[in-house]
Amino acid sequence: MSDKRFRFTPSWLVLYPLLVLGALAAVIPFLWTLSTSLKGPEEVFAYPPRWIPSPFVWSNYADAFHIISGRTFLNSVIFAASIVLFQGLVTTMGGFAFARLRFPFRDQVFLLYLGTMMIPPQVTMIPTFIVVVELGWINTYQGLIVPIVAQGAFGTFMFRQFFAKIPNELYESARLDGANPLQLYLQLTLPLSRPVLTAYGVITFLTAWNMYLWPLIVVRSTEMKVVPMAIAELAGGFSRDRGVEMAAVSLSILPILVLWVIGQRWFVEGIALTGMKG
Amino acid sequence: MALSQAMPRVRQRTRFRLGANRDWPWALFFLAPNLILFLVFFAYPIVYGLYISLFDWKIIGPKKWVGIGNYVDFFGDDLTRKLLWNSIYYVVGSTVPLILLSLGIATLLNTVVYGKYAWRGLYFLPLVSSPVAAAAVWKWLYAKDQGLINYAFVQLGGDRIDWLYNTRWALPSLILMTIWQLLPFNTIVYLAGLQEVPRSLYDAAEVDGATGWRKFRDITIPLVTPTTFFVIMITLFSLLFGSFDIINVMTQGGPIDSTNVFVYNIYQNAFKFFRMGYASAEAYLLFLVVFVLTLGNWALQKRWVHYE
Repeated sequence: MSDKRFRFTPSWLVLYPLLVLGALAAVIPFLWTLSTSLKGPEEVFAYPPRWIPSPFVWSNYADAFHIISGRTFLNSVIFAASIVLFQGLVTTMGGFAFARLRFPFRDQVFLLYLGTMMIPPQVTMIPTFIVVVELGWINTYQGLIVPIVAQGAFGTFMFRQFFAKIPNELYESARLDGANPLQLYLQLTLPLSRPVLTAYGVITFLTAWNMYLWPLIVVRSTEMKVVPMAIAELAGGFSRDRGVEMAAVSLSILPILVLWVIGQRWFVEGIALTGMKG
Repeated sequence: MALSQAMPRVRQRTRFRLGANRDWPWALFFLAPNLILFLVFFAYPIVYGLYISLFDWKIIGPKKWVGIGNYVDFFGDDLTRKLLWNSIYYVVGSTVPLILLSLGIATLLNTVVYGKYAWRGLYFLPLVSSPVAAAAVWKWLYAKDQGLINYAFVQLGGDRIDWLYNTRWALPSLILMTIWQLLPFNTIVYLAGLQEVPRSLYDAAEVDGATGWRKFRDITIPLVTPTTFFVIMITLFSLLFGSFDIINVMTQGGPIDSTNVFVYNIYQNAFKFFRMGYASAEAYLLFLVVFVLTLGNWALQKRWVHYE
Protein backbone atom coordinates (compact mmCIF):
# COMPACT_ATOMS: atom_id res chain seq x y z
CA MET A 1 0.00 0.00 0.00
CA SER A 2 2.90 2.32 0.59
CA ASP A 3 6.39 1.99 -0.77
CA LYS A 4 9.68 2.02 1.10
CA ARG A 5 10.33 5.76 0.71
CA PHE A 6 9.44 8.12 3.52
CA ARG A 7 6.04 9.51 2.73
CA PHE A 8 3.81 10.99 5.37
CA THR A 9 0.12 10.46 4.75
CA PRO A 10 -2.82 11.46 6.94
CA SER A 11 -3.66 7.79 7.43
CA TRP A 12 -0.61 7.61 9.71
CA LEU A 13 -2.51 9.61 12.29
CA VAL A 14 -4.90 6.69 12.59
CA LEU A 15 -2.48 3.87 11.86
CA TYR A 16 0.24 4.49 14.42
CA PRO A 17 -1.93 5.31 17.44
CA LEU A 18 -3.87 2.11 16.70
CA LEU A 19 -0.64 0.16 16.46
CA VAL A 20 0.60 1.53 19.77
CA LEU A 21 -2.69 0.76 21.50
CA GLY A 22 -2.67 -2.84 20.29
CA ALA A 23 0.98 -3.36 21.19
CA LEU A 24 0.31 -2.03 24.70
CA ALA A 25 -2.53 -4.51 25.15
CA ALA A 26 -0.22 -7.33 24.08
CA VAL A 27 2.70 -6.29 26.27
CA ILE A 28 1.20 -4.84 29.48
CA PRO A 29 0.44 -8.23 31.08
CA PHE A 30 4.13 -9.12 30.67
CA LEU A 31 5.39 -5.84 32.09
CA TRP A 32 3.00 -6.17 35.01
CA THR A 33 4.23 -9.72 35.64
CA LEU A 34 7.82 -8.55 35.62
CA SER A 35 7.04 -5.62 37.89
CA THR A 36 5.11 -7.74 40.39
CA SER A 37 7.81 -10.40 40.37
CA LEU A 38 10.25 -7.94 41.93
CA LYS A 39 7.97 -6.62 44.66
CA GLY A 40 7.93 -7.53 48.32
CA PRO A 41 4.75 -8.84 49.97
CA GLU A 42 3.66 -5.36 51.14
CA GLU A 43 4.36 -3.47 47.96
CA VAL A 44 2.30 -5.93 45.96
CA PHE A 45 -0.76 -4.55 47.74
CA ALA A 46 0.20 -0.90 47.26
CA TYR A 47 -2.64 1.18 45.95
CA PRO A 48 -2.47 2.89 43.49
CA PRO A 49 -0.21 0.22 41.95
CA ARG A 50 3.42 1.16 41.29
CA TRP A 51 5.20 0.04 38.16
CA ILE A 52 8.76 0.34 39.40
CA PRO A 53 9.30 -1.70 42.58
CA SER A 54 11.40 -0.21 45.36
CA PRO A 55 13.38 -1.97 46.52
CA PHE A 56 13.86 -4.68 43.92
CA VAL A 57 13.22 -7.96 45.70
CA TRP A 58 15.46 -10.31 43.73
CA SER A 59 15.04 -13.01 46.34
CA ASN A 60 11.56 -13.67 44.86
CA TYR A 61 13.32 -15.44 42.01
CA ALA A 62 15.38 -17.61 44.32
CA ASP A 63 12.23 -18.49 46.26
CA ALA A 64 10.34 -19.20 43.04
CA PHE A 65 13.09 -21.46 41.76
CA HIS A 66 13.08 -23.27 45.06
CA ILE A 67 9.30 -23.75 44.91
CA ILE A 68 9.24 -24.97 41.31
CA SER A 69 12.44 -26.96 42.00
CA GLY A 70 15.26 -27.88 39.66
CA ARG A 71 13.85 -31.35 39.29
CA THR A 72 10.61 -30.00 37.83
CA PHE A 73 12.55 -27.91 35.32
CA LEU A 74 14.63 -30.95 34.40
CA ASN A 75 11.44 -33.00 33.94
CA SER A 76 10.05 -30.38 31.58
CA VAL A 77 13.26 -30.33 29.57
CA ILE A 78 13.31 -34.14 29.33
CA PHE A 79 9.62 -34.22 28.43
CA ALA A 80 9.77 -31.53 25.73
CA ALA A 81 13.10 -32.62 24.24
CA SER A 82 12.05 -36.30 24.05
CA ILE A 83 8.83 -35.36 22.31
CA VAL A 84 10.68 -33.21 19.77
CA LEU A 85 13.19 -35.99 19.13
CA PHE A 86 10.90 -39.02 19.01
CA GLN A 87 7.95 -37.34 17.35
CA GLY A 88 10.36 -35.84 14.83
CA LEU A 89 11.72 -39.30 14.05
CA VAL A 90 8.32 -40.98 13.80
CA THR A 91 6.70 -38.24 11.70
CA THR A 92 9.60 -37.78 9.27
CA MET A 93 9.84 -41.53 8.74
CA GLY A 94 6.11 -41.75 8.09
CA GLY A 95 6.11 -38.65 5.90
CA PHE A 96 8.99 -40.08 3.89
CA ALA A 97 7.20 -43.39 3.33
CA PHE A 98 4.00 -41.68 2.19
CA ALA A 99 5.79 -39.19 -0.06
CA ARG A 100 8.64 -41.19 -1.53
CA LEU A 101 8.05 -44.94 -1.38
CA ARG A 102 5.80 -47.01 -3.57
CA PHE A 103 3.62 -49.58 -1.87
CA PRO A 104 0.10 -50.90 -2.33
CA PHE A 105 -2.80 -48.69 -1.12
CA ARG A 106 -0.40 -45.92 -0.18
CA ASP A 107 -2.77 -43.02 -0.79
CA GLN A 108 -5.75 -44.78 0.75
CA VAL A 109 -3.79 -45.53 3.91
CA PHE A 110 -2.63 -41.93 4.02
CA LEU A 111 -6.17 -40.56 3.74
CA LEU A 112 -7.36 -42.87 6.48
CA TYR A 113 -4.52 -41.74 8.71
CA LEU A 114 -5.34 -38.09 7.97
CA GLY A 115 -8.93 -38.69 9.01
CA THR A 116 -7.76 -39.44 12.55
CA MET A 117 -6.72 -35.79 12.91
CA MET A 118 -10.39 -34.93 13.23
CA ILE A 119 -10.88 -36.98 16.36
CA PRO A 120 -10.80 -34.78 19.46
CA PRO A 121 -8.06 -35.58 21.99
CA GLN A 122 -10.73 -35.75 24.71
CA VAL A 123 -12.17 -38.85 23.05
CA THR A 124 -8.92 -40.78 23.34
CA MET A 125 -7.78 -39.20 26.61
CA ILE A 126 -9.75 -41.45 28.97
CA PRO A 127 -9.08 -44.81 27.26
CA THR A 128 -5.43 -43.82 26.67
CA PHE A 129 -5.15 -43.16 30.39
CA ILE A 130 -6.46 -46.66 31.03
CA VAL A 131 -3.96 -48.13 28.55
CA VAL A 132 -1.18 -46.31 30.40
CA VAL A 133 -2.48 -47.71 33.71
CA GLU A 134 -2.53 -51.23 32.26
CA LEU A 135 1.03 -50.84 30.97
CA GLY A 136 2.11 -49.79 34.46
CA TRP A 137 3.29 -46.46 33.06
CA ILE A 138 1.52 -44.14 35.49
CA ASN A 139 3.93 -41.60 36.97
CA THR A 140 6.77 -42.52 34.58
CA TYR A 141 8.56 -40.68 31.81
CA GLN A 142 7.37 -43.15 29.19
CA GLY A 143 3.79 -42.65 30.35
CA LEU A 144 4.22 -38.91 29.94
CA ILE A 145 6.03 -39.03 26.62
CA VAL A 146 4.94 -41.98 24.47
CA PRO A 147 1.20 -41.16 24.18
CA ILE A 148 2.10 -37.60 23.11
CA VAL A 149 4.61 -38.91 20.56
CA ALA A 150 1.72 -40.99 19.21
CA GLN A 151 -0.17 -37.79 18.30
CA GLY A 152 1.90 -37.44 15.15
CA ALA A 153 -0.75 -37.45 12.44
CA PHE A 154 -0.38 -33.76 11.77
CA GLY A 155 3.40 -33.86 11.65
CA THR A 156 3.36 -36.85 9.33
CA PHE A 157 0.95 -35.02 7.05
CA MET A 158 3.08 -31.87 7.08
CA PHE A 159 6.33 -33.70 6.30
CA ARG A 160 4.67 -35.76 3.61
CA GLN A 161 3.57 -32.54 1.87
CA PHE A 162 7.04 -31.08 2.19
CA PHE A 163 8.96 -34.17 1.08
CA ALA A 164 6.67 -34.59 -1.93
CA LYS A 165 7.88 -31.22 -3.24
CA ILE A 166 11.55 -32.23 -3.37
CA PRO A 167 12.41 -32.67 -7.09
CA ASN A 168 11.90 -36.22 -8.25
CA GLU A 169 15.11 -36.25 -10.33
CA LEU A 170 17.20 -36.20 -7.17
CA TYR A 171 15.59 -39.42 -6.02
CA GLU A 172 15.70 -41.05 -9.45
CA SER A 173 19.42 -40.47 -9.85
CA ALA A 174 20.20 -41.52 -6.28
CA ARG A 175 18.28 -44.74 -6.84
CA LEU A 176 20.13 -45.38 -10.08
CA ASP A 177 23.34 -44.98 -8.09
CA GLY A 178 22.07 -47.83 -5.94
CA ALA A 179 20.89 -45.92 -2.87
CA ASN A 180 18.39 -47.78 -0.73
CA PRO A 181 15.41 -46.03 0.93
CA LEU A 182 17.23 -45.70 4.24
CA GLN A 183 19.99 -43.77 2.48
CA LEU A 184 17.44 -41.71 0.59
CA TYR A 185 15.87 -40.79 3.92
CA LEU A 186 19.04 -40.07 5.87
CA GLN A 187 21.31 -38.60 3.21
CA LEU A 188 18.91 -36.87 0.84
CA THR A 189 15.55 -36.10 2.43
CA LEU A 190 16.56 -34.95 5.90
CA PRO A 191 19.49 -32.72 4.86
CA LEU A 192 17.28 -30.99 2.27
CA SER A 193 14.60 -30.35 4.87
CA ARG A 194 16.60 -28.52 7.49
CA PRO A 195 14.44 -25.34 7.54
CA VAL A 196 11.18 -27.22 7.91
CA LEU A 197 12.72 -29.52 10.54
CA THR A 198 13.85 -26.53 12.59
CA ALA A 199 10.49 -24.79 12.37
CA TYR A 200 8.71 -27.99 13.34
CA GLY A 201 11.13 -28.60 16.19
CA VAL A 202 10.62 -25.13 17.64
CA ILE A 203 6.82 -25.32 17.50
CA THR A 204 6.76 -28.84 18.93
CA PHE A 205 9.08 -27.85 21.77
CA LEU A 206 6.86 -24.87 22.57
CA THR A 207 3.72 -27.03 22.57
CA ALA A 208 5.30 -29.72 24.74
CA TRP A 209 6.82 -27.24 27.19
CA ASN A 210 3.35 -25.74 27.68
CA MET A 211 1.45 -29.02 28.03
CA TYR A 212 -0.60 -29.29 31.17
CA LEU A 213 -3.59 -31.64 30.90
CA TRP A 214 -1.81 -34.89 30.07
CA PRO A 215 0.92 -34.50 32.72
CA LEU A 216 -1.78 -33.58 35.24
CA ILE A 217 -3.47 -36.92 34.55
CA VAL A 218 -0.38 -39.13 34.49
CA VAL A 219 1.86 -37.61 37.17
CA ARG A 220 1.25 -38.76 40.75
CA SER A 221 4.30 -37.56 42.66
CA THR A 222 6.19 -34.33 43.27
CA GLU A 223 9.32 -35.74 41.63
CA MET A 224 7.60 -36.25 38.27
CA LYS A 225 5.90 -32.84 37.98
CA VAL A 226 6.44 -30.57 34.99
CA VAL A 227 6.61 -26.77 35.07
CA PRO A 228 3.01 -25.92 34.07
CA MET A 229 1.75 -28.12 36.92
CA ALA A 230 3.89 -26.23 39.42
CA ILE A 231 2.66 -22.87 38.07
CA ALA A 232 -0.96 -23.99 38.14
CA GLU A 233 -0.63 -25.06 41.77
CA LEU A 234 0.88 -21.73 42.73
CA ALA A 235 -1.85 -19.80 40.94
CA GLY A 236 -4.73 -21.98 42.07
CA GLY A 237 -6.85 -20.66 44.91
CA PHE A 238 -5.93 -17.46 46.69
CA SER A 239 -2.30 -16.63 46.37
CA ARG A 240 -0.30 -15.73 49.45
CA ASP A 241 2.72 -14.18 47.80
CA ARG A 242 2.05 -12.66 44.39
CA GLY A 243 5.65 -11.54 44.02
CA VAL A 244 7.00 -15.08 44.23
CA GLU A 245 4.15 -16.38 42.11
CA MET A 246 4.89 -13.92 39.29
CA ALA A 247 8.60 -14.67 39.60
CA ALA A 248 7.73 -18.34 39.04
CA VAL A 249 5.63 -17.42 36.01
CA SER A 250 8.54 -15.39 34.63
CA LEU A 251 10.93 -18.28 35.16
CA SER A 252 8.57 -20.64 33.32
CA ILE A 253 8.37 -18.27 30.36
CA LEU A 254 12.11 -17.57 30.27
CA PRO A 255 13.31 -20.58 28.20
CA ILE A 256 10.70 -19.93 25.53
CA LEU A 257 11.45 -16.20 25.58
CA VAL A 258 15.13 -16.93 24.97
CA LEU A 259 14.18 -19.24 22.11
CA TRP A 260 11.91 -16.51 20.80
CA VAL A 261 14.60 -13.84 20.86
CA ILE A 262 17.09 -16.14 19.09
CA GLY A 263 14.74 -17.49 16.47
CA GLN A 264 11.56 -15.48 16.07
CA ARG A 265 11.47 -16.37 12.43
CA TRP A 266 11.31 -20.10 13.23
CA PHE A 267 8.21 -19.53 15.32
CA VAL A 268 6.58 -17.45 12.64
CA GLU A 269 7.60 -19.86 9.89
CA GLY A 270 6.49 -22.83 11.93
CA ILE A 271 3.06 -21.34 12.43
CA ALA A 272 2.74 -20.17 8.86
CA LEU A 273 3.87 -23.63 7.79
CA THR A 274 1.34 -25.46 9.92
CA GLY A 275 -1.22 -22.95 8.75
CA MET A 276 -0.76 -22.38 5.08
CA LYS A 277 0.99 -25.08 3.16
CA GLY A 278 -1.81 -27.64 3.13
CA MET B 1 31.10 -51.75 -26.13
CA ALA B 2 28.16 -49.50 -26.84
CA LEU B 3 25.79 -52.37 -26.31
CA SER B 4 27.28 -53.44 -23.00
CA GLN B 5 27.06 -49.86 -21.79
CA ALA B 6 23.42 -49.60 -22.77
CA MET B 7 22.41 -52.93 -21.31
CA PRO B 8 22.55 -52.26 -17.59
CA ARG B 9 20.56 -49.06 -18.00
CA VAL B 10 17.81 -50.86 -19.86
CA ARG B 11 17.73 -53.62 -17.34
CA GLN B 12 17.58 -51.20 -14.47
CA ARG B 13 14.78 -49.27 -16.04
CA THR B 14 12.65 -52.36 -16.56
CA ARG B 15 13.33 -53.48 -13.04
CA PHE B 16 12.20 -50.08 -11.89
CA ARG B 17 8.89 -50.38 -13.68
CA LEU B 18 8.28 -53.95 -12.66
CA GLY B 19 9.04 -52.99 -9.11
CA ALA B 20 6.42 -50.25 -8.89
CA ASN B 21 5.35 -51.57 -5.50
CA ARG B 22 8.64 -53.13 -4.51
CA ASP B 23 9.32 -50.67 -1.72
CA TRP B 24 6.76 -52.23 0.55
CA PRO B 25 9.22 -53.95 2.95
CA TRP B 26 10.94 -50.61 3.35
CA ALA B 27 7.59 -48.87 3.72
CA LEU B 28 6.74 -51.26 6.51
CA PHE B 29 10.02 -50.38 8.20
CA PHE B 30 9.41 -46.65 7.90
CA LEU B 31 5.79 -46.84 8.96
CA ALA B 32 6.27 -49.33 11.78
CA PRO B 33 6.74 -46.74 14.58
CA ASN B 34 3.70 -44.82 13.36
CA LEU B 35 1.68 -47.98 13.02
CA ILE B 36 2.48 -49.40 16.47
CA LEU B 37 1.83 -46.10 18.23
CA PHE B 38 -1.34 -45.64 16.22
CA LEU B 39 -2.69 -49.05 17.13
CA VAL B 40 -1.86 -48.88 20.84
CA PHE B 41 -2.59 -45.22 21.58
CA PHE B 42 -5.25 -44.40 19.02
CA ALA B 43 -7.13 -47.23 17.34
CA TYR B 44 -7.51 -49.33 20.47
CA PRO B 45 -8.46 -46.37 22.73
CA ILE B 46 -11.09 -45.19 20.24
CA VAL B 47 -12.86 -48.54 20.34
CA TYR B 48 -12.24 -49.07 24.03
CA GLY B 49 -13.67 -45.62 24.85
CA LEU B 50 -16.92 -46.44 23.11
CA TYR B 51 -17.06 -49.71 25.04
CA ILE B 52 -16.48 -47.98 28.41
CA SER B 53 -19.21 -45.46 27.64
CA LEU B 54 -21.73 -48.30 27.94
CA PHE B 55 -20.76 -49.05 31.54
CA ASP B 56 -21.07 -47.55 34.96
CA TRP B 57 -17.46 -47.67 36.08
CA LYS B 58 -15.62 -45.94 38.91
CA ILE B 59 -12.21 -47.15 37.63
CA ILE B 60 -11.68 -49.13 40.84
CA GLY B 61 -14.13 -51.99 41.09
CA PRO B 62 -16.20 -53.83 38.53
CA LYS B 63 -17.81 -52.40 35.41
CA LYS B 64 -21.60 -52.40 35.48
CA TRP B 65 -23.36 -52.63 32.13
CA VAL B 66 -25.82 -49.76 31.60
CA GLY B 67 -26.21 -49.79 27.81
CA ILE B 68 -27.03 -46.30 26.57
CA GLY B 69 -27.82 -45.28 30.13
CA ASN B 70 -24.95 -42.77 30.33
CA TYR B 71 -26.15 -41.05 27.17
CA VAL B 72 -29.72 -40.93 28.46
CA ASP B 73 -28.48 -39.49 31.77
CA PHE B 74 -26.50 -36.82 29.96
CA PHE B 75 -29.55 -35.49 28.14
CA GLY B 76 -31.58 -35.60 31.34
CA ASP B 77 -28.97 -33.83 33.49
CA ASP B 78 -29.71 -30.26 34.60
CA LEU B 79 -26.09 -29.30 34.06
CA THR B 80 -26.13 -30.28 30.38
CA ARG B 81 -28.11 -27.27 29.21
CA LYS B 82 -25.75 -24.96 31.08
CA LEU B 83 -22.70 -26.71 29.62
CA LEU B 84 -24.05 -26.36 26.11
CA TRP B 85 -24.93 -22.70 26.56
CA ASN B 86 -21.53 -21.90 28.14
CA SER B 87 -19.68 -23.75 25.38
CA ILE B 88 -21.54 -21.91 22.64
CA TYR B 89 -21.12 -18.57 24.42
CA TYR B 90 -17.40 -19.18 24.90
CA VAL B 91 -16.72 -20.43 21.37
CA VAL B 92 -18.78 -17.86 19.47
CA GLY B 93 -17.84 -15.04 21.84
CA SER B 94 -14.15 -15.73 21.26
CA THR B 95 -14.14 -16.72 17.59
CA VAL B 96 -15.91 -13.69 16.14
CA PRO B 97 -13.69 -11.03 17.78
CA LEU B 98 -10.62 -13.20 17.12
CA ILE B 99 -11.30 -13.33 13.38
CA LEU B 100 -12.04 -9.61 13.07
CA LEU B 101 -9.11 -8.50 15.25
CA SER B 102 -6.53 -10.83 13.73
CA LEU B 103 -7.42 -9.78 10.18
CA GLY B 104 -7.34 -6.12 11.24
CA ILE B 105 -4.00 -6.44 13.04
CA ALA B 106 -2.46 -8.46 10.19
CA THR B 107 -3.51 -5.74 7.75
CA LEU B 108 -2.02 -3.05 10.01
CA LEU B 109 1.24 -4.98 10.42
CA ASN B 110 1.36 -5.57 6.69
CA THR B 111 0.96 -1.85 6.00
CA VAL B 112 3.44 -0.51 8.52
CA VAL B 113 6.73 0.69 7.05
CA TYR B 114 8.90 1.61 10.01
CA GLY B 115 10.05 -0.94 12.57
CA LYS B 116 8.17 -3.70 10.81
CA TYR B 117 9.79 -6.52 12.77
CA ALA B 118 9.80 -4.66 16.09
CA TRP B 119 6.02 -4.21 15.87
CA ARG B 120 5.58 -7.86 15.01
CA GLY B 121 7.78 -8.88 17.92
CA LEU B 122 5.55 -6.94 20.32
CA TYR B 123 2.29 -8.19 18.87
CA PHE B 124 3.41 -11.81 18.80
CA LEU B 125 4.78 -11.76 22.35
CA PRO B 126 1.79 -13.53 24.00
CA LEU B 127 2.90 -16.61 22.04
CA VAL B 128 5.78 -17.23 24.45
CA SER B 129 3.50 -17.66 27.43
CA SER B 130 1.90 -21.03 28.07
CA PRO B 131 -1.87 -21.07 28.64
CA VAL B 132 -1.18 -21.92 32.29
CA ALA B 133 1.28 -19.05 32.79
CA ALA B 134 -1.05 -16.65 30.98
CA ALA B 135 -3.94 -17.79 33.17
CA ALA B 136 -1.86 -17.16 36.31
CA VAL B 137 -1.02 -13.66 35.08
CA TRP B 138 -4.58 -12.81 34.12
CA LYS B 139 -5.89 -14.10 37.41
CA TRP B 140 -3.69 -11.49 39.04
CA LEU B 141 -4.82 -8.80 36.56
CA TYR B 142 -8.45 -9.63 37.36
CA ALA B 143 -7.94 -9.64 41.15
CA LYS B 144 -10.63 -7.63 42.91
CA ASP B 145 -8.63 -5.44 45.25
CA GLN B 146 -5.16 -4.99 43.78
CA GLY B 147 -5.79 -6.06 40.21
CA LEU B 148 -4.64 -3.77 37.44
CA ILE B 149 -7.90 -4.09 35.53
CA ASN B 150 -10.02 -2.94 38.44
CA TYR B 151 -7.59 -0.09 39.02
CA ALA B 152 -8.10 1.10 35.44
CA PHE B 153 -11.83 0.51 35.82
CA VAL B 154 -12.06 2.65 38.95
CA GLN B 155 -10.00 5.40 37.31
CA LEU B 156 -12.57 5.47 34.52
CA GLY B 157 -15.34 5.89 37.08
CA GLY B 158 -16.56 2.31 37.43
CA ASP B 159 -17.07 0.12 40.46
CA ARG B 160 -14.81 -2.74 41.44
CA ILE B 161 -15.95 -6.05 40.04
CA ASP B 162 -14.80 -9.43 41.29
CA TRP B 163 -14.37 -10.56 37.70
CA LEU B 164 -13.62 -14.25 38.17
CA TYR B 165 -15.92 -14.84 41.15
CA ASN B 166 -19.03 -13.34 39.64
CA THR B 167 -21.43 -15.53 37.68
CA ARG B 168 -22.12 -12.77 35.18
CA TRP B 169 -18.54 -11.69 34.46
CA ALA B 170 -16.47 -14.84 34.86
CA LEU B 171 -17.07 -16.23 31.38
CA PRO B 172 -16.62 -12.90 29.54
CA SER B 173 -13.39 -12.45 31.52
CA LEU B 174 -12.15 -15.83 30.30
CA ILE B 175 -13.12 -14.86 26.76
CA LEU B 176 -11.10 -11.63 26.88
CA MET B 177 -8.05 -13.52 28.14
CA THR B 178 -8.51 -16.22 25.48
CA ILE B 179 -8.59 -13.59 22.75
CA TRP B 180 -5.38 -12.04 24.07
CA GLN B 181 -3.74 -15.42 24.05
CA LEU B 182 -4.82 -16.73 20.63
CA LEU B 183 -4.52 -13.47 18.71
CA PRO B 184 -0.82 -13.78 17.74
CA PHE B 185 -1.24 -17.22 16.21
CA ASN B 186 -4.20 -16.16 14.08
CA THR B 187 -2.47 -12.92 13.11
CA ILE B 188 0.58 -14.83 11.85
CA VAL B 189 -1.62 -17.10 9.75
CA TYR B 190 -3.42 -14.07 8.32
CA LEU B 191 -0.13 -12.31 7.59
CA ALA B 192 0.96 -15.35 5.58
CA GLY B 193 -2.42 -15.31 3.83
CA LEU B 194 -2.09 -11.62 2.95
CA GLN B 195 1.18 -12.31 1.12
CA GLU B 196 -0.77 -14.50 -1.30
CA VAL B 197 -2.94 -11.60 -2.46
CA PRO B 198 -1.42 -10.33 -5.72
CA ARG B 199 -0.12 -6.75 -5.42
CA SER B 200 -1.22 -6.03 -8.96
CA LEU B 201 -4.83 -6.02 -7.81
CA TYR B 202 -4.14 -3.22 -5.33
CA ASP B 203 -2.17 -1.29 -7.96
CA ALA B 204 -5.03 -1.59 -10.42
CA ALA B 205 -7.49 -0.45 -7.76
CA GLU B 206 -5.30 2.55 -6.93
CA VAL B 207 -5.27 3.57 -10.58
CA ASP B 208 -9.06 3.53 -10.43
CA GLY B 209 -8.87 5.77 -7.36
CA ALA B 210 -9.98 3.25 -4.73
CA THR B 211 -9.49 4.27 -1.09
CA GLY B 212 -7.85 2.13 1.59
CA TRP B 213 -11.17 0.93 2.96
CA ARG B 214 -12.53 0.02 -0.49
CA LYS B 215 -9.38 -1.94 -1.25
CA PHE B 216 -9.70 -3.78 2.06
CA ARG B 217 -13.37 -4.57 1.54
CA ASP B 218 -13.32 -5.49 -2.14
CA ILE B 219 -9.91 -7.08 -2.55
CA THR B 220 -8.45 -8.19 0.78
CA ILE B 221 -11.52 -9.69 2.42
CA PRO B 222 -12.66 -11.81 -0.54
CA LEU B 223 -9.13 -12.95 -1.41
CA VAL B 224 -8.20 -14.07 2.09
CA THR B 225 -11.35 -16.17 2.52
CA PRO B 226 -9.34 -19.43 2.25
CA THR B 227 -7.25 -18.20 5.21
CA THR B 228 -10.39 -17.13 7.06
CA PHE B 229 -11.81 -20.59 6.57
CA PHE B 230 -8.66 -22.15 7.94
CA VAL B 231 -8.48 -19.71 10.87
CA ILE B 232 -12.07 -20.48 11.83
CA MET B 233 -11.36 -24.21 11.88
CA ILE B 234 -8.15 -23.85 13.89
CA THR B 235 -9.81 -21.46 16.35
CA LEU B 236 -12.75 -23.79 16.89
CA PHE B 237 -10.40 -26.66 17.61
CA SER B 238 -8.14 -24.76 19.97
CA LEU B 239 -11.13 -23.33 21.86
CA LEU B 240 -12.89 -26.66 22.16
CA PHE B 241 -9.86 -28.62 23.29
CA GLY B 242 -7.48 -26.01 24.66
CA SER B 243 -9.80 -24.23 27.07
CA PHE B 244 -9.11 -26.77 29.81
CA ASP B 245 -5.83 -25.19 30.95
CA ILE B 246 -7.10 -21.69 31.55
CA ILE B 247 -10.38 -22.81 33.11
CA ASN B 248 -8.63 -25.14 35.52
CA VAL B 249 -6.24 -22.41 36.66
CA MET B 250 -8.62 -19.44 36.70
CA THR B 251 -12.07 -20.64 37.76
CA GLN B 252 -12.23 -24.46 37.90
CA GLY B 253 -15.58 -24.15 36.16
CA GLY B 254 -17.07 -21.90 38.82
CA PRO B 255 -18.65 -19.89 40.25
CA ILE B 256 -21.72 -22.20 40.24
CA ASP B 257 -20.67 -23.76 36.91
CA SER B 258 -20.84 -20.41 35.13
CA THR B 259 -17.56 -21.18 33.33
CA ASN B 260 -18.02 -24.92 33.06
CA VAL B 261 -17.82 -26.03 29.45
CA PHE B 262 -18.05 -29.39 27.73
CA VAL B 263 -14.36 -30.32 27.78
CA TYR B 264 -13.87 -29.19 31.35
CA ASN B 265 -16.81 -31.26 32.52
CA ILE B 266 -15.38 -34.34 30.80
CA TYR B 267 -12.19 -33.90 32.80
CA GLN B 268 -14.10 -33.36 36.05
CA ASN B 269 -16.21 -36.47 35.57
CA ALA B 270 -13.30 -38.67 34.54
CA PHE B 271 -10.53 -37.56 36.88
CA LYS B 272 -12.25 -35.80 39.79
CA PHE B 273 -15.41 -37.88 40.23
CA PHE B 274 -14.04 -41.01 38.48
CA ARG B 275 -17.22 -41.48 36.45
CA MET B 276 -15.28 -43.04 33.58
CA GLY B 277 -18.28 -44.39 31.71
CA TYR B 278 -20.25 -41.16 31.85
CA ALA B 279 -17.21 -39.07 30.88
CA SER B 280 -16.54 -41.38 27.91
CA ALA B 281 -20.12 -40.98 26.75
CA GLU B 282 -19.70 -37.19 26.96
CA ALA B 283 -16.45 -37.42 25.00
CA TYR B 284 -18.18 -39.36 22.25
CA LEU B 285 -20.99 -36.82 22.06
CA LEU B 286 -18.38 -34.08 21.78
CA PHE B 287 -16.80 -36.02 18.95
CA LEU B 288 -20.18 -36.10 17.22
CA VAL B 289 -20.58 -32.33 17.64
CA VAL B 290 -17.10 -31.68 16.25
CA PHE B 291 -17.77 -34.01 13.35
CA VAL B 292 -21.01 -32.22 12.44
CA LEU B 293 -19.35 -28.80 12.84
CA THR B 294 -16.48 -29.79 10.57
CA LEU B 295 -18.74 -31.26 7.92
CA GLY B 296 -21.00 -28.21 8.10
CA ASN B 297 -18.04 -25.89 7.73
CA TRP B 298 -16.76 -27.82 4.71
CA ALA B 299 -20.21 -27.86 3.13
CA LEU B 300 -20.69 -24.14 3.66
CA GLN B 301 -17.27 -23.14 2.42
CA LYS B 302 -18.35 -23.41 -1.22
CA ARG B 303 -20.73 -20.52 -0.58
CA TRP B 304 -18.19 -18.01 0.68
CA VAL B 305 -14.61 -19.18 0.16
CA HIS B 306 -12.97 -18.04 -3.06
CA TYR B 307 -10.31 -20.32 -4.43
CA GLU B 308 -8.38 -19.14 -7.45
